Amino acid sequence: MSSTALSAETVTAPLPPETWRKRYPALARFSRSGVSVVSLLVILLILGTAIFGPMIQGIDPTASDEALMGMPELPSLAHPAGTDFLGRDLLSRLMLGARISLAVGFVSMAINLMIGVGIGTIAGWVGGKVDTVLMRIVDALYSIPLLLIVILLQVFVKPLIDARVPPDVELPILLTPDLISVYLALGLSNWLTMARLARSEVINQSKKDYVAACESLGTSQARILIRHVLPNCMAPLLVAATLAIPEAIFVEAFLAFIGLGISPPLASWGSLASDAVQSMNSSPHLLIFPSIAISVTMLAFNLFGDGLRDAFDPRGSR
Amino acid sequence: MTDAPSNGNGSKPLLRVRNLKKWFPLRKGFFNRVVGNVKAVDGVSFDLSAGETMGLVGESGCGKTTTGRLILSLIPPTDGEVFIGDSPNLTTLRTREWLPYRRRVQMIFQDPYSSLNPRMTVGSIVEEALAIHNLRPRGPERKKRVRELLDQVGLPGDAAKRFPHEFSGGQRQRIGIARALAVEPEIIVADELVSALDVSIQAQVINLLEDLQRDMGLAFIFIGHDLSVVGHLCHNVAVMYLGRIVEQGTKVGIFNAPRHPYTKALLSAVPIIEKEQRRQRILLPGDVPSPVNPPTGCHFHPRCPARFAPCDSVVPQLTQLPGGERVSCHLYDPKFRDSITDEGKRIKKLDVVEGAEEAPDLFAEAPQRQEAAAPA
Repeated sequence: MSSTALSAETVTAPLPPETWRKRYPALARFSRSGVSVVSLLVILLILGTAIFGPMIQGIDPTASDEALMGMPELPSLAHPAGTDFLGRDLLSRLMLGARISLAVGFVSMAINLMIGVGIGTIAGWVGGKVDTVLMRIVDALYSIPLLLIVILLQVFVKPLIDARVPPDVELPILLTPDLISVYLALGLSNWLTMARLARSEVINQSKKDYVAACESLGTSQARILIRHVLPNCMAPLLVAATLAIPEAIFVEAFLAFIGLGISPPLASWGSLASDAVQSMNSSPHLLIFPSIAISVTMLAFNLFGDGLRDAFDPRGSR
Repeated sequence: MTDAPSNGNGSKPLLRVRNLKKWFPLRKGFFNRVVGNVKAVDGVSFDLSAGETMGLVGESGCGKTTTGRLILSLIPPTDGEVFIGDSPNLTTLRTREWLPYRRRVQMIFQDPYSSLNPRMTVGSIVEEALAIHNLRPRGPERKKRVRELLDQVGLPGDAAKRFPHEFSGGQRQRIGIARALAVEPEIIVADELVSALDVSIQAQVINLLEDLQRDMGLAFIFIGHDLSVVGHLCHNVAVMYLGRIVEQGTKVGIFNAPRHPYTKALLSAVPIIEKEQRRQRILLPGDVPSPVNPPTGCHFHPRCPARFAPCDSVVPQLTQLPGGERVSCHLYDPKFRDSITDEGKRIKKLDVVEGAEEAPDLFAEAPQRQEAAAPA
């Protein structure tokens, strides 16, 4: 049959050479956007500073220099970001704050993601009454302002955690009761958007023919959900998660600013800024550096999130 | 409804579909009251023998695709029975009990883009079918089988480690065919398999189906609205209108002696290049009515040029004519013979070619042109 020969010939023509750009088009699109790449580099720089900075600098952020007590020093060679009222090196405190702020951002994002994806997936996949009930709960929670929920959670959760920690135990700074209560307050409050997004994505994907093809082959529901549907929902969720990090950092900064959240001698960027407000005129560097840290981090994460979103959107390919 | 006849050669049919129904409830208001039903499929019966291709044709929204999905229980039927060979009624089986029968019937989907998981390589898509039914031991043997399957549908050897987005529409349909073939089915439901493809690619994919049928004795249910493709590929044809089969018969019967006015209208809409072969065009007024509130009597009567007294009150039954065709139309009911209008008599005679043994191959043109254009 000559027509078969034709079809075989046309189709077995070698595929175009495989390049990473072709194999991972999203990555290729991301790498073409200068802003996205720069924002990623900035995030990596901030993360690197938070993780390795304190070891390199080697100054204890809680140790105060008696000689400088009460008269904050402007930036100098010895103290690149100056010192504060207690004679502590501000750069070391900023790096401590970076650890805490970023930890708050990532941990609460992870909690948000787990709760949101869990609830959204159940609602979208099971559907029917389960969907209705879960989504009405989400709607109800949506009607309460986020900050109110965070503050209430913070106020209720902290005593519970404090009560469970024996007073004489030395905990790593990222696991102190203060911080755990902040993680939980932010993690338990900001998953609503994530749940709605996950639900709509799961519904969207479950209507696609590849799911019908799986059912036609007899693939189990669990396997379809885990191996087929969820991986295809990940792109928008990843973007939402990336954008949840700066939001959490910002809310934490706000909480610290109004005096909730972590307590001295620990410091987050928000509490550093809060402490500096009274002496804004005499020692502006105490306010400027934490503010820059917050702003740059927020901007970098937001631009990175936007870049990710554009990269995942195939219509953006040029 | 009584048993449908076994089509063609008289052997026991491989697939039997009896009185299949799917009513989608229409819900309204805060408490989701059911206010009506969309009767997407409303009592469809047919038989399919091994190695046979049956075409299921009709306009958009007539329930062809739903019928295909009901056969595989991808959506739960409201009523009706489906049997494969000596199986129990498949519509009552639980998911787990269905599993062995999924090796006997598979589906290929219309949309070559959404029917392949974009995050899995072609190899793992095909391999998953083997894994679910535990065909071939995991490892090199299974991989080898995947390569065989891809080769069988005419895909290059390095296709297995590529992602679906690296392939064209026609190649993607081949991947879908390879996935369906992986479980070595006897029946394949091909849902609008080629309607998303260019005509030249359609010809290649249709040739592939014909080769597969010849080599493996597959039976196809070919769902489509393109009559030239259906006429080229199918042995038997069922014409659907608003969830019901209005006419059913051999390809020769349907194409050379269409009985139902709707079938005549459908066939007259097929573009034919040779002027002398053209049929008289029957233009149907209006649109397909809503299946929520279908017309009384014969569903087709508001658009039918031959309608007469009983059409808006009596529901016509699918009845067998002396020639073997089955048609659901009062024009062929001896009870109403005397009240047929003159227009009805004219329409009844239209397009009936007596004594023809071969249906015109409306599709023959396209592949030939392709061959001429292709380099040797």
